[in-house]
Amino acid sequence: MTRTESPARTVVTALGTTALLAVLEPDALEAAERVMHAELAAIDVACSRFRPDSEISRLLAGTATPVGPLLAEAIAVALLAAQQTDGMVDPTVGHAVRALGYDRDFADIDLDGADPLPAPQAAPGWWRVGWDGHSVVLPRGVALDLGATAKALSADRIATRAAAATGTGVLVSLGGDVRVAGPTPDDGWRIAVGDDHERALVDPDLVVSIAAGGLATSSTARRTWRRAGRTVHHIVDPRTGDIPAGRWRTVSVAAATCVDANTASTAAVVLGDAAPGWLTDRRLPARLVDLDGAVITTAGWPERRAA
Amino acid sequence: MSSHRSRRAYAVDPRAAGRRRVVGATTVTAVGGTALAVFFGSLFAQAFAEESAAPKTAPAAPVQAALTVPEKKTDAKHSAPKPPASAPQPAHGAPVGSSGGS
Repeated sequence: MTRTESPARTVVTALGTTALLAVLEPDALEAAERVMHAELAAIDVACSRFRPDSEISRLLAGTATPVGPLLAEAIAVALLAAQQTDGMVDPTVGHAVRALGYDRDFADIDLDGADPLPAPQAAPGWWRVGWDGHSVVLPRGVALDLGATAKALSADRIATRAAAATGTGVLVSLGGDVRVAGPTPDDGWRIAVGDDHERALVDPDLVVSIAAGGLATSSTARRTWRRAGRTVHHIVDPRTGDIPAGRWRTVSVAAATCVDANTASTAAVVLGDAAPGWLTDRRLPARLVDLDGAVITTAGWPERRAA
Repeated sequence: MSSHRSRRAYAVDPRAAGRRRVVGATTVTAVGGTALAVFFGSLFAQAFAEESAAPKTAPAAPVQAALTVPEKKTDAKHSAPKPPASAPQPAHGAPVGSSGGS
């Protein structure tokens, strides 16, 4: 764990990535940290597909299974994201992600395996998940992966709860999924943007400020591995079960919440050529970087290099 | 008494035996059919009586049927990620946090 002053900040490792917490008033850091640690532990127990004892790992196919309130919220958020993106962000990609080789914590993945990948199969489809707000029915052959939304949901929950508990302004970044809540610094929360959330802190492509809401980035440049000479990554096109065709390397989106921002940034990577229009139609400020490094922005996103 | 005479004394006419088997089978079938008819008739009568006497309420739906399947298609104008209150602004100075691939 590392700490800094003004704003007071702490960074820990969690959910297979880094969790950064910043508060405007240094005295509030400890209380905010308690909120963060409790939320991170809870989301891991509820939603981690790498823990055999997690709630999501113990869901049985073909039967109605009551779930706890946090997994219920995570499932509802994932299904809403799928609905909002017409299936471009689909939680039923569980088997497809595993088939690509992402079947354990990323740190434990063989980054250059010799075995070729099996033929990809389209996701079964989020609309096949039975859901009444309390119980879930997974048809046989359907496995959930909440990776596209659960981390962002956790950032939203930590920031809003820590701000409510401490009364001060809070910024949370979980692996680059950012949410701010509560009072705002005079010039807003300064956030570095880049392909890699860790490198961006020291060598950003751009620094922007936000006063409220969320900012998320989806990138095919991080969390990659190779199978039989082919490079793959963690973003799956549910229509094919394979990685997206590949127009964008990195997409950053600002939205009302971190979940909304991450839903849109992931959908944009999957949508490819249609992404700028899709984002513009929804008035979502975004920065899209293509495979050659060319940048397109939408809906008022500032295109200006960091000073 | 020879064994040959004994066998002749107890010999059975095959045609008579066949008639007895046919008659026997027919009798059993008729009795069984009647019994089945009486049994199912009473069941139907009982069910009809209960249905008539019972108050008319909707049957309880099974658990799985109660679970809703979300609408596949929606109007994006009504259901979409919400934009921020204001767009990000250019900023100077050291960043507090970062957004990028993880």
